Amino acid sequence: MVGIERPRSRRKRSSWGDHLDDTVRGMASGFLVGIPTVFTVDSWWLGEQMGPNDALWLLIFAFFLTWAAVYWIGFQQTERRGIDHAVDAVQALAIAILSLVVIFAALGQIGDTQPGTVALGRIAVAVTPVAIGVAIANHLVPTDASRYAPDPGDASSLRMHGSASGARLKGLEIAAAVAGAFFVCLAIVPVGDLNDIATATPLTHLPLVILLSLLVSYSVVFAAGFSGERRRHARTPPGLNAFSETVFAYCVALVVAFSVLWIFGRIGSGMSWLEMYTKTILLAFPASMAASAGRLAV
Amino acid sequence: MSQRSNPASSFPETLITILSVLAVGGLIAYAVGQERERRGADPANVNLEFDVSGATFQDETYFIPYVIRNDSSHAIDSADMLIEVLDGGDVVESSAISLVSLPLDGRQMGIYASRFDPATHEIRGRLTSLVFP
Repeated sequence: MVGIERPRSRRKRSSWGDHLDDTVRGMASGFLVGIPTVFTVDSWWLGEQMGPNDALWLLIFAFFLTWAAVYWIGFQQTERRGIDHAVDAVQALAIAILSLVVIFAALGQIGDTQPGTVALGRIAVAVTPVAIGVAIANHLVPTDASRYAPDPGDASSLRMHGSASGARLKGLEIAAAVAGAFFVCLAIVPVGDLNDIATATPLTHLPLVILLSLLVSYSVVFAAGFSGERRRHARTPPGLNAFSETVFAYCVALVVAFSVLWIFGRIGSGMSWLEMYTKTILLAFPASMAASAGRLAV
Repeated sequence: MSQRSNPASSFPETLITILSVLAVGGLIAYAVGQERERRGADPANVNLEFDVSGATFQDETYFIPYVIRNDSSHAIDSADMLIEVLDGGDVVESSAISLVSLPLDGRQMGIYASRFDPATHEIRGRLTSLVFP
């Protein structure tokens, strides 16, 4: 029996840059998988009402699930064996905890006047999907993946002959960003939790949410090792740099978020501008991450 | 394709692992500490405190800020409290308030509206029912 030879791109030695790359890819993947849970207000309430003992059991459960996912797929690009998988699981869990602290802090749901047990409960409820997302980053957000190029065997791959033009690739990239943003918006808006989230989020935190959206989008697109990333850094046209391209992706997310909210009747002409603004900014947060990851999120 | 069988841990990896263990271990230690602390607590220790000095007067009504603290051993799904205003030992005004979802160590702030001056009357609040999650 002849085994299938798979290409191996795993590194033998890792530097600070490699670790940063793996961590950012892990975070991006964790956000993509975990964001629907984080943006469900029921999970916030569940976290509020949870006792420390239950939170502890959830953390232990999350560790073993993450360990299994790391063993199967992983997020590091170095070769891992034996106890390395357990170490990676701890790292994935730590990345997930850190990501959740940042998200909940930006939404004003931990810190401020909230007691520590609320932070513990909310993190414990949401940590499992985020940690598993981190642990499967090599599959979900692989190094040198493309945001718009089809995989071998996809219909468009079979149809395509030769390389696409720059304008066509740009068009595909925008379409991928719109598709990714729609994907996440359609998972969040119909549930109807956005009203509660908008009520619970202090207005003063909205600038933080915008900043975090831009930062995560930038990280996903320019730091997570997507194919063509280096060319992007090297050959950005005049007037279009890494930041402006990230802002453009964020604007795509804003437009999609506003459209989906309007279509589902969550915002309308009888509503105040402030309420529409708040809901759009909040929904654009997960939408911008998915827009950055594009078709990998779909 | 040759691969190194078991590469030694690099300094970045060791440091990141230590930081990760601290992050996860810190969260676990906090959970264990909270669990120990709450085991010794009263299951129905919900307190209501009025800030009489912060009261304001408008349209014949005194608006008195209050804080409800959940110092009990459990998070609370819902609770009912009775606020009473006393004038020389007699209840001259009473009002029921309901709480929804108060976490462990949770605080809920509110404002009680009364016809009576809190500086010259006693105001107290007491728990009438409690529902655990």
